[in-house]
Amino acid sequence: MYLTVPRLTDIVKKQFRYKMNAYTGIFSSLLIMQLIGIFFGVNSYSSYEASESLRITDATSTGDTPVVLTLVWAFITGILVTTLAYRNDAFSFVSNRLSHHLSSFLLVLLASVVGGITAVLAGSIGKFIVYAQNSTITIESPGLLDSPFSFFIGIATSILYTILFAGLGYTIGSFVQRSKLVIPLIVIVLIALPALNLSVGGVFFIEKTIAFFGTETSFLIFLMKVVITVVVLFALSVAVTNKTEVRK
Amino acid sequence: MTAIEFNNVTKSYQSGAHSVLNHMNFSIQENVLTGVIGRNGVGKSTLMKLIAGHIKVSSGEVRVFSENPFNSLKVSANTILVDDTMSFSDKLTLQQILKEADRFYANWDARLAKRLFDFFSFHPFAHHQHLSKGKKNTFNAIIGLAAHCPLTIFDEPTTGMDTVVRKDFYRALLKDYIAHPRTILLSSHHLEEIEDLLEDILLVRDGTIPFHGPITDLQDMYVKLVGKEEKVRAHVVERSSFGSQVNGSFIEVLVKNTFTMDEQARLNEEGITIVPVPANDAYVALTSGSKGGIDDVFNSATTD
Amino acid sequence: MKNAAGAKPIYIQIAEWIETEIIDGTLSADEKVYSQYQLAEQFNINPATAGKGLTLLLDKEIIYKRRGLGMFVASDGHEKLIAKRKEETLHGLIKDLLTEAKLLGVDDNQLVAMIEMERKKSGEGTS
Repeated sequence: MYLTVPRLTDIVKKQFRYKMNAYTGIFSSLLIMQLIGIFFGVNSYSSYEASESLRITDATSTGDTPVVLTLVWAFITGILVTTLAYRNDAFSFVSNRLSHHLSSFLLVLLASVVGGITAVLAGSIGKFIVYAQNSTITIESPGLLDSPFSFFIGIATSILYTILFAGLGYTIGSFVQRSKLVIPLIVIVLIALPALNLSVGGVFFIEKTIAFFGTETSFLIFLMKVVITVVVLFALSVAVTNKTEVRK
Repeated sequence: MTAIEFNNVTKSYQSGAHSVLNHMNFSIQENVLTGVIGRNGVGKSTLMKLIAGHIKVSSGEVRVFSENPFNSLKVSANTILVDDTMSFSDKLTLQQILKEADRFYANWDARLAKRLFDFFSFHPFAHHQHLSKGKKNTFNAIIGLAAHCPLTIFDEPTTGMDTVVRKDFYRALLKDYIAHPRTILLSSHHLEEIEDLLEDILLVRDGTIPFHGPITDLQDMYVKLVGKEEKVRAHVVERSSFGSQVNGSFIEVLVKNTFTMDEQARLNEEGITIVPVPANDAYVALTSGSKGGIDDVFNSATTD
Repeated sequence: MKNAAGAKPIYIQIAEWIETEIIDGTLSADEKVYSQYQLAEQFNINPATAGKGLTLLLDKEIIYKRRGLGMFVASDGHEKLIAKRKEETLHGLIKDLLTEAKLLGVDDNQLVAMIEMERKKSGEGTS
């Protein structure tokens, strides 16, 4: 029987397609998260009486809630695709560790793009609901009609943030797969150290990191920062799990 | 051509722990159907996972199609390991899983897969994780057969299958092997069930290989002496027996087959028959060592 | 107790089965013998094992090989087998018969008489 000589790109493509078919749950969970986001986003009402005959109702929808929930979803999804069950599924068919990583990462990337776009749209839906209920609206953030360029930059930024969080989840997931001891370490880094940091009063790593991305005003530099970070995170993930045993 | 090669392979799951495989050496030729035989927990599965590249050696070297299988895409594309760690997403139906398999394996035989699928009465929209253990293994075995991989590995494929399905599966395996010769490894701790299917046997015991070769050679290693008890006993004293059974004044004793022509003639004159043994008896003799059989446990208790 | 034939290696059983086919005339001289794959399929055994059975017959020159065409019954295959069975099987049976007869105190005349009687019973004048 002749031997097949597979190409990495072919196998990655097949694995990507397989994972797209097999893990539709990723997208349905996104939908649920964003519906929750819309629901909570529009529920910020404040009303006061301006005079005896006038009552002013102040309904706002920042559109942020769906975005925040999408980031949480991206982070969890990133972790999820690195878990044992997903790995065993992949290795039930043709795969090596690199093709598994590449195809999972492509899946996460695609999910992040969808998540990033729909997060902004969900925000808009929130605003629309507020508008429909109150018939007056003030738009403080760029919309598609008045400033399409800003609107698309907004979407791109949303996508990039989603990718960043997914990449972070993916890397943490990969480290945890390498050693369960990483879990308490992460807890310390995420909770204990910032708390400790506050009492010391200095600028801590996490704050710096947030500032590194959050205060960037140039979109292109922001894009580069995200791409480089994600590539580094991915390379780290591949490096720590390239000796992982599967289907034990 | 050599399909699989083990050079001094040792495998332990935790560093410093008792090793599952111990300095193993063997090679398997292309297109041979080999039975990997051994009792439970001797390292059969570990050996197979090493070959499929799922786990890595602690020391030594494994070669499959002259490549290190660990992280080799070539080995993965040309190998399928069917065992109970095969898993599929719960979102996919059985029919969809077969479709995915079709995409991954170059030699996939969709017609065979469909026919076996129908023969074993699977429902196309059923889900893998809802199947019973026997059904799950039957489904996995269908994938293993239809993949037509140059190296096909079945690790205890018939666990949970009922007798009829087991027989059908082994028959299907043989017919497909005849039609598409390829390197096949088949593990079982029931040698008697598969001995006729096999060309070679790879015997595993305590992480070592006490025997590897044609099943007929294994059979030839042992014989049974049948005759009057006192006469047989007289011949057996200088040989170690691997189990005996008394039927009235007759006794059957399993011994190593090292008789010369002269000795055979002498035994015949004394009314002792030399009887060939089934491969399974030889396997039991070879793997039980000189501890004797379960009967000896009770015999020594009464003589003490 | 398993009988001795049951434990016989399967390739020897295959060889004996083909021998019987040749002796009883199912396979005649220069006729094609079943391939190892046909045998494997029919008896549900590994083709290599079936091949070993054929090799056994090749070595005894009961069958011969034609390159690319398969195995065929040797022209003197039938005679060889008859002679061999006489030598091995019949002699073995006679030896057993004599041992048993001696044990039971049956003398040669009685034995011949018993054989004659069996022959008449089965309705055959000659063998």
